[in-house]
Amino acid sequence: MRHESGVTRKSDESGGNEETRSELLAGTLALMVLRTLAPGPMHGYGIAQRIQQVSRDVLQVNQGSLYPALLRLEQRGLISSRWGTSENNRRARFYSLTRTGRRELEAETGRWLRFSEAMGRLLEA
Amino acid sequence: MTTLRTWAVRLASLFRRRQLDERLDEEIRFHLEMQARENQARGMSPEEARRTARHAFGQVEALKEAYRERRGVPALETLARDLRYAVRMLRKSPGFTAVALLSLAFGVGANCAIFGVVDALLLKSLPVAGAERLVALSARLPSGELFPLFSYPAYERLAAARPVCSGLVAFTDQFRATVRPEGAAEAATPGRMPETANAALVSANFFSLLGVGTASGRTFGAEEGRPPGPHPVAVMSYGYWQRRYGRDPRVVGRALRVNGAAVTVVGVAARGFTGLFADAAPDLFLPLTLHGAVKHRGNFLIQGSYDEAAPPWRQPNAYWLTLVAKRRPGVGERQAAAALGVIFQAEKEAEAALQLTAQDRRDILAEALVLRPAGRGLADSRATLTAPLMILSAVAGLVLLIACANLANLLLARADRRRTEMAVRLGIGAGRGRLVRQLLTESLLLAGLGGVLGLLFAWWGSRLLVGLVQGNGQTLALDVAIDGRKLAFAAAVALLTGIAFGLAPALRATRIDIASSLKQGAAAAGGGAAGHRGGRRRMPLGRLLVVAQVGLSLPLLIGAGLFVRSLRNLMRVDTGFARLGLVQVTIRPGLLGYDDGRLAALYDRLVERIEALPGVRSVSLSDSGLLGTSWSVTDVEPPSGAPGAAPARDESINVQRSTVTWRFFATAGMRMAQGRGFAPQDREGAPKVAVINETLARRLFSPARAVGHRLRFKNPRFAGCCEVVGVVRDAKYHEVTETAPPVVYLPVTQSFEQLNAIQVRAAPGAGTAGAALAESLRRAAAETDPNLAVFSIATIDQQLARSLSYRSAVAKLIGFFGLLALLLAATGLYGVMAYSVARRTSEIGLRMALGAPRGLVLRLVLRETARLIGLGVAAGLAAALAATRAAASQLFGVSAFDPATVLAATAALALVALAAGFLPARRAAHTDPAVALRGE
Repeated sequence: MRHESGVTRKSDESGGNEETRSELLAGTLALMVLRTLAPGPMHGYGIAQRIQQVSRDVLQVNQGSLYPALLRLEQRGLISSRWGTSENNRRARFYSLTRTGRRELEAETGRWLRFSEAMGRLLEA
Repeated sequence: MTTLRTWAVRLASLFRRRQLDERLDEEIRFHLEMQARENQARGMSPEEARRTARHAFGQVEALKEAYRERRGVPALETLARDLRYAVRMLRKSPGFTAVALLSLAFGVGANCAIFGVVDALLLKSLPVAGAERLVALSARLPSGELFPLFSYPAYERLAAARPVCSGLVAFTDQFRATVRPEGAAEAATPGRMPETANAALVSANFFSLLGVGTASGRTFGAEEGRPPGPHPVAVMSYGYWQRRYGRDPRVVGRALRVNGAAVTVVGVAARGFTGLFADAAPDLFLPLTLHGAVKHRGNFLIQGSYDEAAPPWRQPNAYWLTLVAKRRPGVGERQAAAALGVIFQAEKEAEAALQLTAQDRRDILAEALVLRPAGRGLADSRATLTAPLMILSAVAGLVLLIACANLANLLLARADRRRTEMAVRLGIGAGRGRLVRQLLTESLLLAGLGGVLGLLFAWWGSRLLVGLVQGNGQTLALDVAIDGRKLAFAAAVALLTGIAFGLAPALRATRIDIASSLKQGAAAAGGGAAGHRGGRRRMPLGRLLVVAQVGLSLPLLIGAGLFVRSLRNLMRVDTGFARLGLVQVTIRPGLLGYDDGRLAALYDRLVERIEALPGVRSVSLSDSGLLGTSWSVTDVEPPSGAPGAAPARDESINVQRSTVTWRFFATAGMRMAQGRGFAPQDREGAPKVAVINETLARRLFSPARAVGHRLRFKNPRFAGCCEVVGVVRDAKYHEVTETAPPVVYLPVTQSFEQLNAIQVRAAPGAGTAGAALAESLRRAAAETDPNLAVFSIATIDQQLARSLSYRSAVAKLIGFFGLLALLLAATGLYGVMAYSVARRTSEIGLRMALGAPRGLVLRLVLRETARLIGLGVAAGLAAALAATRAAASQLFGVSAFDPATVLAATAALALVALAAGFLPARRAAHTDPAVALRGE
């Protein structure tokens, strides 16, 4: 005979959460990607590693969610990508900042600093 | 700027989807590999390294989904993908698809076909300029009736109301006329039906005021149509031009002979314009001034004294024109009515002066002008056909609902079967909205395809419907071609059904407890999942739908039964004449142009000739035929205190006057209640005699003593008329539903008329079977006078059937829909029971393994079926009680809740439904416990 299962994981809820989290982080993640690419071209894995190193324990980012963000930045013309060869001679996609991307990085960095400065003052006061 | 660019890139990426998919795959592979390598370098085992990498990466499928959504134009792309998937799913189950599509096609098609007729007759605006400002004029008689005809002098006067109306048009009903191109043979084949067309007389400004252009040539000039005329010109309708002349542009300038009069075609009216009647379509428009020349034979009523010599446009009391005015922009209906009303009253003074009695003068002066919107066209058939059309619309709507319930049920069952698939897809991260969207795409695709099929069905159905639904034996000329309105209607119906009946199953299918569904994967594939077994307390949607189907079908079946019985009653009505072996021939001797003496001689020769035919027992002629659609009326004065008279009334009686040859009653098989019929001695110069029907005898005299009294006609033409020599039993004169009007019969020898019908009584056993007799009748007519036009030859039963055509069409359609509903409901029940049995295979197997006999299992399933049927029948009876009452006015000789019909319909429904439930039950009873349990 069949029986009801005790575990009920509503998939629509989990789906919904995923959505909000990535939406929330979209802007931040974009800025992090742009900043990471400032020194020079890098492949997806490299970007993920770098962000994780710098922001470890503070930002819990699913590594996978990086790729849609990369696609979006590319569609907006802020970064470009081309095939290249990685350190271990594997074919990998390398991303680099475009001119627009560099301008966007500067503008966004300024905005972010002013914002965090304001937040800092507000919280310390 | 960036947004624009983003969209451009997204659109472009639509076309390199595969490439992008591969790129992502490659990146993910690379990422995981690098991560695993790093993990391994930190001392993990290769296995562990890969697992940790995957975990850190997150859900790959969800990512791919998110990536794709970012990539192209998501809505478009998912739609395309869902459509492809839906097509694949539908093709995988052709049986399901066929049943769903066919039921939808029938549902949508039936509704669309009926909508087409409803639209053409009741809704659609005429294709003329300022249709919303058109108003039809009629006179409200003291009796409260609306009388729609006016005289020409009234038209001229009313047309002068320029401040409120930009104009007024006058036109006649369409009438059938012989039409042939000038130069064609006089009568191609003697005795054959001559080429005919529908003609209408219209005023000079008819086209210009309505803003109707031409497809070729010109319309009438400002003077064409103004008396005295005759202005022998004609404008052809586009339809006739196309049908008869293949759109030959040389038709303009050509001469035609219309009822013998030569007219020149000056133009072809714009496509789609068929005059101001919604249910008529004249082939030729002629100026009013041709009234005499083309022997206009339509409504032409005269009240009061009449000067035969004066042309009709000088007769204020000859009513023959329909008037339609166009209000000026900004002038309200009330304002227009007030202004026109003043003129109308002045005109009535002129008409009153011509009346013969004070009562008539008072009545004429008491008439009032009434305006009614005419933008949707005038239609006499609207009054008769509105109720049946509403009933048919409701019935078609019910059939669609039943079909949709089937669709929903099929989708539900399928969704249930796909629970595992859904669970897997939800489990690997697909959003629920996404799945619902995809399931909806499937049901919308079904609905869309059903809609297209339905349109094809409707295209054929509307034509059939118009052919079936004839008003009084005359085919309705309704424009039911597929147009934007019908397309929009079908699309709306299809879309609504797709959403309304696809949404619930889709929502249910995706509301899944993933873990348990997956655990029971195998079991679910065989049917059934947790949550379904609780069905005892709350009725599951599928069953509810079946109960609704049964409940909706029952009123339809009962209605079908009632309408079929009504029709049978109508066919069996005692018409008052002997129908067996009676044939009627319609002729138009008036077109021959003979004088009265020559016509009288022609009648004698016709009778003589036809009576000489083998197998013919007797022959007669009458002015309008039995069950004919036209008749003459005249006023008879009440008897003035004669002995045996009924209480004197100061009103005269309006009676139908029928002129016949002496053997009319014998030939028609009408029996005398008193006195005698006509005889050869009732000839010209002999004392004038009349035969009246029972109704008139009752109205004028004490019923048993009518013979010997004198009738007094108001019309001076019948001076010295006449002594009642007989009373004939009441009969049906025009249609079988009528109550007998008062009728007076006069012998043609004593009061001359054109006789347009020949009655032929075949000798019993002479094989009245049409073809041979019809052929010899045609030959006899042609031999009597080669120019005599024979319009039709039909047995009286055929004529009766034609006069009942719209009723029989309604009965047939409701019968058809009733059977369709029964079939759909049975399919639905079968589906639900079959599915329920399949789902419970293991339970049934277990019961049987534990010793339950087959009979018990059979009963178990049948009991379930019976419960559903019982609930449905109860609901259906309640619905029928309300529904059939609304249709009561359309029934004949059967009550709206006729017990026999209700019982028969219920029994038929229950039997068919039980049979549908029996098949799954038998399958259940033959379950092999071993197989069933292994399946679990």
